[in-house]
Amino acid sequence: MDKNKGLESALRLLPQDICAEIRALPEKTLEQLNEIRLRSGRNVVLTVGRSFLELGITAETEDIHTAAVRAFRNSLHTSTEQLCSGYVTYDNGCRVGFAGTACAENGSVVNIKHINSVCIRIPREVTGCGSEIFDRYLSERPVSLLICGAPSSGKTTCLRDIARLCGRRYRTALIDERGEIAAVSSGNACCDIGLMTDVFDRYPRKAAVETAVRVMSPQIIICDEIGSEEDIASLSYVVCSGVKLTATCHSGSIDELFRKPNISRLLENEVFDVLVYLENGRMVQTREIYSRQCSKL
Amino acid sequence: MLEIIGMILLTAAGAAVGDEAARSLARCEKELKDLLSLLDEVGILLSSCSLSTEEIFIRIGESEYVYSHCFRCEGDDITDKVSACLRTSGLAMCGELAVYIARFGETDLEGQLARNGLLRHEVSLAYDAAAEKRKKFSNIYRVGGFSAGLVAALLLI
Repeated sequence: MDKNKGLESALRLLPQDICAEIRALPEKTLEQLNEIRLRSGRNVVLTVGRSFLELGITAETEDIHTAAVRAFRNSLHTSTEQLCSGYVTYDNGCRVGFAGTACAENGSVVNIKHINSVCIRIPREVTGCGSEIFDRYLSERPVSLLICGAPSSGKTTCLRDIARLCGRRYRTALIDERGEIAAVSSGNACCDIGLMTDVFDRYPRKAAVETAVRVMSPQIIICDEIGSEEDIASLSYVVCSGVKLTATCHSGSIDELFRKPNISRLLENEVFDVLVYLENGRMVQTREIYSRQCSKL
Repeated sequence: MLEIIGMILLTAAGAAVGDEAARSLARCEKELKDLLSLLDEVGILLSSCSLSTEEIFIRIGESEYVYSHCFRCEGDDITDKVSACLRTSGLAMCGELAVYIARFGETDLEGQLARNGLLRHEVSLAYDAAAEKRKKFSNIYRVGGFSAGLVAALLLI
């Protein structure tokens, strides 16, 4: 996927004056633009590379409303569930996150009113960023790999490249629950995710995993941001079916993984063979915990 | 001979004007009736079919309402495009419909159905008034037009 396509999709969400302000930035700045944040009554802030850039233009309530409505393609009446989940995936894999005033019932968010913050994340396809991990752990045979890191450490970008590399060698099933990794549009993946990769776009993870194992006979399943209670059963099922798993999760360190309630259970169940910690898109720490190998009789 | 032709032409012109005014009343009534049906269909598509805004507009565009041609737009900002087309269409209550469409899909389902119901109520009142007006004034306009034409013919000739 061309980085420009992601940026163009993101700019289409914005009101004209903010869009013009961003387009006026130097080309080099636009190439490194990762996020556009609108906050009601405050200046627009961009994430460029690892730093922040504040623009001299204020995002008004109407601007945020415009961005939100466009992100939902003027169909909020069919998107309440997505709105309550706090994000929506727009064209070319742009993820748009929202914050606002929640209407809660029995501890669950049933609606959002007065959206006051919008975060537009521009997808980046960095070919080769997953090569180090792939060459070290996956080039000879599939293994189960967990990639962890802080938010915006490059996990999804790395996972996308690993999917591409795995898809060249193994039968790969990509569980793209949020539509960010393959950026499927009208049935076609906008990103290069490999020749032999089957994409389960916007499937709930549990259903996707079970379907993939049953009907696509994958050698490796790839999914993003695991860590929920439901993941324990479905991902353990994957590994017990003889399929390897590459996944990502949020964590401040590898040691922290063992303290996370659901991830630690996956680790106890020996779901993963290798743990990798990413920082700024680079592998900085690994731990290999291969399962006990059966010896031949 | 020429005077008789002149009289006939003037009378016919008056009758035509009167007839056009009567037809205009009937046209307005038909457009409002179409608009009621359109809003009913939108309500059903919203509540029963869970269609997106684009899908709803495609369905309406494929229907045979007098407003349907305005809904055959594509691309981004589809609500703005349809709204702009409606505003310039000259059809009955096009302004109100344009305002409704401009903000279509900006609320949850309940809100959208409520807005739909509100506009439908306004259109229903306008339709009843238009039907009443047509019944009352159609014949008056036709007879008046004919009479005006005849009087003009007599005065001028």
